[in-house]
Amino acid sequence: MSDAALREPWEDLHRQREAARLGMWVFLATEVLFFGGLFLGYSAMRVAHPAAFAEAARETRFWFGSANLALLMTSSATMTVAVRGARAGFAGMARWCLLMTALIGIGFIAVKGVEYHLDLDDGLWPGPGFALGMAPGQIFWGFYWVMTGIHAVHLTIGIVLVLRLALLSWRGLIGLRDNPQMPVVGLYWHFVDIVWMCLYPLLYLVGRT
Amino acid sequence: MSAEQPSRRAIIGQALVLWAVLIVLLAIAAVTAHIDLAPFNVPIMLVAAAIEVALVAVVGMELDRSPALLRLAAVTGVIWLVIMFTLSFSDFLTRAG
Amino acid sequence: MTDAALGRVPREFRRSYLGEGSTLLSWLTTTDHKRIAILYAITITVFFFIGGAAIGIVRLELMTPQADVVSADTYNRLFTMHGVIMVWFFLVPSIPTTFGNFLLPLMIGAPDMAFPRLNLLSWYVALLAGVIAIVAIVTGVGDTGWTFYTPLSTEYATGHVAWTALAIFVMGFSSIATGINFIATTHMLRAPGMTWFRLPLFVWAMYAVSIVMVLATPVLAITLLLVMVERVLGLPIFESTLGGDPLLFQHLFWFYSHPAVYIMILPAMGVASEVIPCFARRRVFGYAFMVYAMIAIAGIGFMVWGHHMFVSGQSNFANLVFSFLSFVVAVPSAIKVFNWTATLYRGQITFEAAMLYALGFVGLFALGGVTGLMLACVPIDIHVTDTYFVVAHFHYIMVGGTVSAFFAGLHYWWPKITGRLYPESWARFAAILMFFGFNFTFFPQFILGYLGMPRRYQVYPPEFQAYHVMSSMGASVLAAAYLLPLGYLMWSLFWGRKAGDNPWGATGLEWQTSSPPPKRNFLATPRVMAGPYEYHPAEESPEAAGAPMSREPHRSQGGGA
Repeated sequence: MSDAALREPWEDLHRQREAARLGMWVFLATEVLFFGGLFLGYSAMRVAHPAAFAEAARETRFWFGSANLALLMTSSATMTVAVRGARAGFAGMARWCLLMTALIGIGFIAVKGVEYHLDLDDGLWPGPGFALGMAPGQIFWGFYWVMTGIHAVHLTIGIVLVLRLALLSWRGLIGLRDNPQMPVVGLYWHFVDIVWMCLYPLLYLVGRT
Repeated sequence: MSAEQPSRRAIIGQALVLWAVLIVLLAIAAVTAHIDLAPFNVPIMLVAAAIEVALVAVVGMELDRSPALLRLAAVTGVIWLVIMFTLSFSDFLTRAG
Repeated sequence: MTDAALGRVPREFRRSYLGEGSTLLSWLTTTDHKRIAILYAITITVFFFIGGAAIGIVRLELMTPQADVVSADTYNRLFTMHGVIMVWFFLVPSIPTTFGNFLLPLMIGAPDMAFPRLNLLSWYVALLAGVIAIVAIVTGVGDTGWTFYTPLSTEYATGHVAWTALAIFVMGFSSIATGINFIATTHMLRAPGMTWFRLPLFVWAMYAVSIVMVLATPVLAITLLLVMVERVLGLPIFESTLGGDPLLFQHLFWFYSHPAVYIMILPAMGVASEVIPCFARRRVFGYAFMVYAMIAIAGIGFMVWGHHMFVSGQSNFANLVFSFLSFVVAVPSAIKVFNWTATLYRGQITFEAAMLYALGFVGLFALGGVTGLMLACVPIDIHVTDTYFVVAHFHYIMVGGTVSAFFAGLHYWWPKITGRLYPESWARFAAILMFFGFNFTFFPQFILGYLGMPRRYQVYPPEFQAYHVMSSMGASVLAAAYLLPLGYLMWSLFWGRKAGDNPWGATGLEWQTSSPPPKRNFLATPRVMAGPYEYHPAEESPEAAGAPMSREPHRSQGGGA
């Protein structure tokens, strides 16, 4: 199995794995800056309009956001087990944990979908019919939609990657033990969780008092 | 590659500890956000988030046992984020009127 | 490598990368970094001429003070198209994706990039971005200038701003993929003995530029995404009537777009650092400081973006900070100019075409850099903001600097890439023509700008006409100089003399394999025993080492004083 994972131009799998992890970490550094632009915009606007932001943030659905954070924290734990289990040779455990991780991710998307639906019903899409009137609150909700939307896209990509690994492994097409894809997908998944950990206080906890 | 192979129990046990700590942090942030602690509300939630992020990065993403090169790559993104924030806010916070 | 050793290597390993298959499919599915470099070279050449054609019409329009060739709307679209295409579809990918792709593995003694399939993917992504850009151009490109300032881009502009932005957004992924590949390759695939301080400066330049690409490009991506979201979905982000801040857009945009200048110039510095030592038969002066300078430029280059916003309403304190940091970033750039010059000192200089281009690069870059210092000075900047002075300044860096270096690299490595020599006299003629054409075009623009001619205007007061006519005539000379190499280089593909492995007597691993190189670059993994640029023993003069081109030295090394 391990030979199948070895690709040009590498001569040994260990080094190939190292390179793959390095590549993913560098990519995650770009992701930090990608989301960083959003965080900078949010922060600048919040400093300019603290009261309006607090008022607008009160309209987000606290329980949906919190439940989703708990879900992603759980998926972080299952992904940790998957990566470490695969490396220790427990292929079955790794596969089940991958599947669980993906299912939790799908659960997140489902919760988020219901939340979006309720938000739209309440007229929280900025524009002429915006429920909270013409105020910087619209800018908060502009950031809300963009930030959660981009996160959801990232998570969807993560779900596809994790499911793909699980299925390929189940059908015996790849081994998980030495495969560079395993730690790389793990890193990506954890990063998507981290993004939600940062978004949660900004979008769901501001202005609750 | 590594000298000692961890058992299933050890792997699941560590993950459970990670999970439990994360959930506790979530609870702290969520509860304190609803109590008026005047200047401390925002710092508490941000510090909780920062600890969560650090835990996932160090334990989940295994920065604790990664080569220095990977740690460097991980830190670089954050350093550049700090540059972006510092210099942008050198404008936002000092505008007249 | 002895003949006996060569004899044992099977024929298919010795065949050049060009002979690995000649069907279109074999090119479109290749993961060979050398072939991907060729694919990129063709793509960016096409875009170079599209962007050039756009500005050709602009220069024609500016021959007279009135509007007579195109409508005002078309004029706006033409300079937008020129900026967008030249910046993102030519200059940013130019040297890294062609020479970088081709040479990075060769220079470090690797068989290929770390992620060959990602490398091919990056080209397809670039192609997709190019197709979107062309669709946007055909259906009416955005008319915002290449800077997409809000609220013009989000509310008032009439063209396909979102499509234009999408093209750049997609192109960004190609840049990021290239950057990740270069970084991983440099870290993980260096040949035995190729330590960090034995790397050729071109490799260092590629490494530094990759860091900038990887850390700056995502900020551009999110910025353009926010513009698209605001324009298409109506979500307010920068909308000032709701309390949004257009300066937030400018901060985000320039956080990418200033480092992007270094994305364009660092590779050029790498090329000059290879060409100048070779044709001066000299070790590069101050190798370690050349490395530190490049890393410093890559780092400090991220801290100076606010100098594009001195008159935007940014706070005076921020103006002060950014002005100071802009002066700081000039220091490493100056170190490089001094070191190239010191490399020439008492060298055995010969003026091959590549060297002429490289020397042109040093001079024009220095002039562009010095005018940059003027612009970093707030009072002068307030006087010349948005005038032709700024246009001339950045064209000295990007065209005088980067494009000259691109042609230097093209001539220097052409024999390695194709295995053929080009006609040297034609090449020298083109190099000199390009230098004069360039100065003829852009020097008058410094004067124009200082006298107050604003950029992006189609109609202007008649007293500026003489300078505009000069500039337009220079542009036609420049156009001829750009077309010439296209002709004689194509000619050399079929009728050029065979180059041999190392026609310039250059050091560096890329010259130790055959021309063109075999698919896996080296028949056996090279072992590196010495540092770069060993054109003569350390502490000795070139002629004492029996330089390949022995000529009378200007004066004996170390003598006389």
